[in-house]
Amino acid sequence: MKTRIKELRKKHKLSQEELALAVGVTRQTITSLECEKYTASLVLAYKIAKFFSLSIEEVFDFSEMEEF
Amino acid sequence: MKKFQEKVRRRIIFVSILFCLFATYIIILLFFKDNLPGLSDNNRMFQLGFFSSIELLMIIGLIKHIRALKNKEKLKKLYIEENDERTILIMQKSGDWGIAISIIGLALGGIIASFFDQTIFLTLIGATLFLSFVKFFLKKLFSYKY
Repeated sequence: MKTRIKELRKKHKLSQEELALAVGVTRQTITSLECEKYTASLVLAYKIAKFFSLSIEEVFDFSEMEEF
Repeated sequence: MKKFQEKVRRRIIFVSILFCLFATYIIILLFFKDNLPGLSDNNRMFQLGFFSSIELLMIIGLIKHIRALKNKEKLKKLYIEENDERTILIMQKSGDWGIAISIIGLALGGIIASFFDQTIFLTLIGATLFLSFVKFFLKKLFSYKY
C-alpha cells in the first residue's frame, strides 16, 4: 500500500528509528511500510496518523486497494 | 509497561534457575563421568557441547534482560522488539510454513525409507502423523482462541 510516511518523516526531520520508537514498532517495520512491502494494521495506521496529527486517509493511500 | 517489567523479572528468575540446573549437569558430565556408565564418550561430548551452547545463549539473554530492567529506554526497545506486529506476522507465517515443509519432508523421507528399512519407514511416518496432528490441533486451538 502506498503511504506518505517517508515524506512526512522527512518533513518532520525524523529518523526511521525515532518514528519507530514513537509508534511502538521496530525500525524494520517502518522501512517495510515506506517500501510498500508491508501493510500496517489498523492500530498502527492510527498511531502513525495520530503522531503526524493527520487522518489515516491522509497518510495511507487506499485508492489502489483491491475491491471484491 | 509495569506488566512487561514483571514479565522480564520472572523470565530472568526462570532462566537463572535453568542456568544453574544445566551448569550442575555440565559439572556432572565433566567430573563425575564414572557415575554415568550408560553414557558413551561420544554422547557425553555431544551433551557437553549442547548444554554449553545453551548456557552461552542463556548468558547472552540474561545480560540483555538484566540491562533492560535497569534502563527504561532499553526496556521499551525490548518490549517493541517482542511485540512488533510485523515480527509477529513473520513468526506466524514462518511457523505455519515450517511445519508444512517438515511434514512434506518427513513423508517423502518415509516413502524413500520404505524401500530400505521398515523401522525407519515407520518412525518417519509416525513423526509425519504426529506433526500433522500438532498442526491440526494448533490450528483448531488458535481458531478457537481468536
